[in-house]
Amino acid sequence: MADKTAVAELRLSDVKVGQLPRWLASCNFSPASIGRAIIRGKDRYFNKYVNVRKTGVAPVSHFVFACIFVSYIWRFKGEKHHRLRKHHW
Amino acid sequence: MISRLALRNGSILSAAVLRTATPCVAAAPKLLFHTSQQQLMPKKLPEYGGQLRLGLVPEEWFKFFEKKTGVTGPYVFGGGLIMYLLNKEIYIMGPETVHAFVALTLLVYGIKKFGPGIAAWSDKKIQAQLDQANTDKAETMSVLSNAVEEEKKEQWRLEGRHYLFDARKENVAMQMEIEYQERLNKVNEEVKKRLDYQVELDNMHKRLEQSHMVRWIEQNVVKSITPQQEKDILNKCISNLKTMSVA
Repeated sequence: MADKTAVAELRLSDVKVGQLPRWLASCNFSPASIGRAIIRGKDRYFNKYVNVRKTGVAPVSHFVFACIFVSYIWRFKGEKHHRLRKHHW
Repeated sequence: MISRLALRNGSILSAAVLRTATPCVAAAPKLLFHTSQQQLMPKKLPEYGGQLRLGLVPEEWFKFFEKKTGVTGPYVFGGGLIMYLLNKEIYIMGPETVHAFVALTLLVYGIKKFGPGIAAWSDKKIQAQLDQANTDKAETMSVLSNAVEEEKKEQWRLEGRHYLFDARKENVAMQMEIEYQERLNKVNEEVKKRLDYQVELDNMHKRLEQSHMVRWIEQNVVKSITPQQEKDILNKCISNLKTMSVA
């Protein structure tokens, strides 16, 4: 337990599977922290793809893909009735 | 002049200059000129953002799998995923598929055709803004450095102000001297005039007395000539003339 604080400071990609419960327990799940985490994620994305001298097609294509993906998820329930085959492996 | 400096800068240095007789630029500490928090330069933007493969998938995901599965690993994974979705009809083919296909084709074609043009146009605009900012900065720096030079020159001029005062004192002394000489001259002239007047008065007295005396003597002499004397003198004169005419 000596490295409990050390586990809490690791990033999720560096945490090993066995340490996962401890890492999750050390997380702060208050709304403010969740908000901050969301903004952190947004900042990471923007600093990688948007806040550069020469932006590429990344934001546009990602946005289009996200729109397609989310709208398909919403429509899936009704789309299920238009399957070509009723039963699948 | 010094108060003008103080009004312009309003800094502690000018107040110190006003208070002391000799200004000293080198001894003023640097802190006096920083009135706010020091601002660090913002970080420079990177040139290019994260790279994408197929315009959608980040390059890092490909690199992540390359060690284990080789170069084609993610493609195989993607292909397999698509086949799975189609097979199990998690993705259902329908009219929306055709619509999406056409729309995405047009989008990709439009981006490929007009993308570089729009990128060049926006780069030009950004470069124009940067150039404007740089010229403004250079101008402000030159203006400020000129102001610093002017300030130094003004402080150098202060050193020579005793020359100015000496010159002015000399001027004033000379003017006073001139005034004094003029007044002295005037006094001399006035005195001379008075004395001349007295001299003229005396001369006039003498002249009048003389002329009066002469006239008086003449009058008395003429009066004293009795008629008898006059006849005698006349006869004498005639006899003289007769003798002279004969001779």
